[in-house]
Amino acid sequence: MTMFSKLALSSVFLLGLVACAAPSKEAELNPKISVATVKPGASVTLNSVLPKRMVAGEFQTVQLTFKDGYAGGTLEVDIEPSAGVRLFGGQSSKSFDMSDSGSHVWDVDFVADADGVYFLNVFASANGLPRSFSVRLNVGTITQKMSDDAMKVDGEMTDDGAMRVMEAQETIR
Amino acid sequence: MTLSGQLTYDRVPLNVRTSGLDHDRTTQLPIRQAPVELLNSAGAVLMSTVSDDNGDYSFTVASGQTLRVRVRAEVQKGAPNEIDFKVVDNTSSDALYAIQGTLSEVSRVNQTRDLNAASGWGGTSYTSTRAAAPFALLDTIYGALEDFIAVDADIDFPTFNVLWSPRNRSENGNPAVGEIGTSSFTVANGVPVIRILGDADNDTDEFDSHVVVHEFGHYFENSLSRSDSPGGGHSIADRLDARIAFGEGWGNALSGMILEDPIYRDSFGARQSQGFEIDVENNVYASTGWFSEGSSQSILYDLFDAANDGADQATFGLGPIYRTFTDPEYRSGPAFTSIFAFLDALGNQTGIVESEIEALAAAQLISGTDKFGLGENNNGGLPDILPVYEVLPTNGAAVAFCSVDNFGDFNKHGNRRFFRIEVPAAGVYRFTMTQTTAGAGDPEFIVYKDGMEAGFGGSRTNRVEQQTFTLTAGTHVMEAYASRNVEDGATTGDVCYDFTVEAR
Repeated sequence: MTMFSKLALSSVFLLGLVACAAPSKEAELNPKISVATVKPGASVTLNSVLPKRMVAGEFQTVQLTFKDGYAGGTLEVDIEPSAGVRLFGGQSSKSFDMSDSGSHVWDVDFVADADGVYFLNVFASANGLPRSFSVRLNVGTITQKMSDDAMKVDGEMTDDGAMRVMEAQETIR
Repeated sequence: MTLSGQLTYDRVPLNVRTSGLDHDRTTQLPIRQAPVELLNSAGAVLMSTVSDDNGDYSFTVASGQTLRVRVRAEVQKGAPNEIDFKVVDNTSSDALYAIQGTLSEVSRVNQTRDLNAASGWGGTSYTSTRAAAPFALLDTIYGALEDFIAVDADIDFPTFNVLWSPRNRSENGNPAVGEIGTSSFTVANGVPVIRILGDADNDTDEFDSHVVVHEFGHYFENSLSRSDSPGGGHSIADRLDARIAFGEGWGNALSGMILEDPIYRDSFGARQSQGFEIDVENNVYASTGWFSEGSSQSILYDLFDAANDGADQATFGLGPIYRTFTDPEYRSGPAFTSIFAFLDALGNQTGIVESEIEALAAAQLISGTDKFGLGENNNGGLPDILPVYEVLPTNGAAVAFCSVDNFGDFNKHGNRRFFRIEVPAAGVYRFTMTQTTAGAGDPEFIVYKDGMEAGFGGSRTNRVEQQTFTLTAGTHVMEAYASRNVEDGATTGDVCYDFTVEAR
């Protein structure tokens, strides 16, 4: 389930609590709560559990938990770390049997040589369809500059922040 | 003096072999119908116009001024077709994207200033400003709007925003910092938004036109028609809740219709060099029936296209499909949005040959005959799932059903059971859902009247959920389920219940 779905269900749940307090409700019709419809791809979700504190130069373990929506087949996962992060344990790929009920857990060991913001690019494939994930790793003491450097945006803010303007290729004749 | 020029953006096509981006074949396409501004050195807007369908613009100015040209990534139009959509940076408080040229003096003769929004690709990675991305999104969606205007000259499009940033990543969290999960459609703070990934070397979608039109299809359903989809993850191989099966099949099929290309492609990975494809013209799926996204997209695309294949003898184009989606009988009908409700409403449109619809449905093993799928005999592997809508009497007689996890959870086939309730007269009715099997099962249900929520039973009590609602007379529908089969993180399982409704 996506975060959006969870939000939707949470909202429904809150409505339910209100309903509990009142034995009878008016015949009031409410618009349905908005949900998120996501792009096609494998029915796979990822939850990551990070170390409380990640230190440069030391081994760290991030626990990736995959949940699939399939009754069988194989879940293939590849991890590509961003520059500055190395994986340990000799594996950047792993397969899981989706006929096993429950979640699929992968403890990924890594090390970053310097403080900074890094990412694990995680590519899952199930039943012939992919799904991409990104896991952010904050190693050491993170500054705004580290964050900005790791996730660059283009252009400059103008018009009191109302516009992000990028330079065009211009030909003047 | 005339200051004029052409506005273009880099369009990066997809490699038909890999479905990855093919930067070597980048072309420049016009920036259409975008506001163009002339700014002075202080940044004040002196004049504005709108580019035409060739990307051309023109101003009449005095020579000697020092000016720059700026182009906004939005389309704003009034009657006869109201359009208000912007491409914004969700990681910068929804700032509107724009491109600009240099501050230059206007010469004594007519001057041409052509502006191109470049892709920023440097050969093996993005090395400069990705200015093309917002304008590629603008152009893809404007193309979709044009196709709908062609079938309804009076159509207005409610305001919506397209959210893109190179920071938009495949991680759930705070969209304001780019954690958008994946490319998606939702309504945020009352405004429909299409969120698009921009994470280089992981997943970017600004040039994946089918993905963009797919999400636009959800905007169309939400804002001009109706969708009862529960949302969430899905694929063409899944056995799904009938509502998401139809909605996602529609998104896929619409991308083929608008782009005149039935091969849906989505790039991802290092250098955006990988990808996958879905052929919406394909008619054979691992999962076939009313619970299949693949079946829905096959039927919808075959209704549209001129190429007849297999059972497809229909060539209706977008017009009847659009009129069905916007038909009040469909938008405000009692049944959930599904392939059944759509085909039932399509049959009422003028110029439709019913036998052609029936042939397409039959080829996808769909036999239900009305908006509720009456008479459907394809259970999709769940012997107790039929009829599609179990009729629930209002005399207190119990109806047994189960919520199961055979095909996954949250939005899969069998997680939620549909009911139809004919309320004979306005009044107070008591709804009781009682667990009849062992184990945890937290029963929940939602009652609807004509697409609006009329009552919710979700008090988190275990084994028995009871609520009373004041209802109007007429047809209601209901979804009922074990919350363990739809809640994130719960251990799923098969749970059975008895359901009763009685007048108080």
